[in-house]
Amino acid sequence: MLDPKNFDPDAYVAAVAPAVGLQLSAERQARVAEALALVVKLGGAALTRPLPETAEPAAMFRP
Amino acid sequence: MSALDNTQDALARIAAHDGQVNAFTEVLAERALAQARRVDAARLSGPLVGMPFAAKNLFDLRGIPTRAGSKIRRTAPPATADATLVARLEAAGMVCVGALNMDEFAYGFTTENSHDGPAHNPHDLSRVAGGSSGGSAAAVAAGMVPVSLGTDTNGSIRVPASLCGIFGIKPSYGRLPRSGATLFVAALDHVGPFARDVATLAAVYDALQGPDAADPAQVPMPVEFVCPGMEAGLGGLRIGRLGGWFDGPQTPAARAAVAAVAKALGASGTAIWADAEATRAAAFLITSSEGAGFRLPELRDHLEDFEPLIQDRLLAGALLPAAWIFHAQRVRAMGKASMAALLADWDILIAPATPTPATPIGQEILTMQGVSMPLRPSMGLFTQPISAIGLPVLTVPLQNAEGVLPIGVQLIGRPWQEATLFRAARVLEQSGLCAAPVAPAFTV
Repeated sequence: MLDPKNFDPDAYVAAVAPAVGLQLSAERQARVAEALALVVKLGGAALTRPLPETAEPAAMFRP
Repeated sequence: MSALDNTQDALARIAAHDGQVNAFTEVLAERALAQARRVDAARLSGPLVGMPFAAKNLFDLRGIPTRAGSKIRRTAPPATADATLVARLEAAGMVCVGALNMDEFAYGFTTENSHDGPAHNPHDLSRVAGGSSGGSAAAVAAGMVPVSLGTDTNGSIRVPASLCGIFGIKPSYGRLPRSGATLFVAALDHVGPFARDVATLAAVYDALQGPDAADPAQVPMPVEFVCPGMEAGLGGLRIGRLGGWFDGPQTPAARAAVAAVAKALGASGTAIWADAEATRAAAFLITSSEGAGFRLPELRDHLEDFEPLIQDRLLAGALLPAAWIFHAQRVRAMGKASMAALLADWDILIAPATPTPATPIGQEILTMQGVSMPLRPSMGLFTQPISAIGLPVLTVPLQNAEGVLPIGVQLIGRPWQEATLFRAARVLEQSGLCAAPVAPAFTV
């Protein structure tokens, strides 16, 4: 799912933040990229976990 | 004592001590005294009648804004009704005396709240009370109230219960209704109580149960009272210790506490849950994304009004790719399935609640066994994988685990088996190993 070596938090934040309506200063962008790098680090054990196609997401919605 | 006497006593203790602890963000004396008089006039009977309590300030309390630890919500319209859990406790004759300090929007493990000031640990005022329900645990540990309400998304009942040395129950996901509580991460949010003894915790838990159509995440399980079977002992229960991930970096105090509880409960083996780390990572991703996505309109318009400690984390979470979260939800389901297989052999699994006793307010890095990590997220190392899959957990306290500081241990049960956890907690309490007296500095 994720190749940490090819993920660039700085470039990602610069590209995506304006697209969701977040206007961030350069200083703020750098700090958010640092926070995103921590998310990738702590979430890495999930993101790099291979799963079979049959693995369904956790059910939540009950009509 | 009458409800009025109890309430006046609680209000006096809050007035005397909260200046040091900073557990309360609002004291509702007028409301509390009126409820106490109603309770006395009604001549109710039951274990909770006339007992004061307080609620984390994300629970709606009629007549005041529900601030959820934030600056932004302070000017919100006052709540028009009490949250379901608050209403249920008052229906049982309890008296709500106020609202309690917390991490902003429940995003944190330390209750270092810049708007309201940090909640201080009653066992050492220079240290954190844990979070995000830090005010809830500190108020009980300091003896200002015997009971409080909190919420737990990734450990926010279990972490403060551990650091403040009190009992706390995070029930199965979907057991207790969350209606009237400000959500943080709906996919993971639980609600539950704190207390200083098992019988009170059980009575409160029983009073909180029951269906509520207003919470779409509540699972339609029958009410299963825990008080009647609480003294049943350990007969027939298979109890083990969680190893692997749960043997990872932690202080000697945390390790010794688990060993002591395992010995007292006659744990007969060690269980290894191979998916613990991946499940914890999945919870971290889901929390980052859902918690931030929920606040995106406010992040756009009021970013500088958010708690400085979480502004950048929320912004990062708001940007996470949807594909990552979809994958994390699948990993979460995988973790649930593998733990279900493990629990075929066990009724209760024992694990540390926190890797360390309470740390100094303001500390950024936690170093254990030569490994350094960011302190605040690391407080949830051992709680986060369990709440991610919704299992019930009762946290039991051991006093003087490291000098004057207590620490907690998680008793983890099968889904919907809260009753077995109360049986084990009662055994530990009766053995004298686990107890939650008022913190020594606040006994007068």
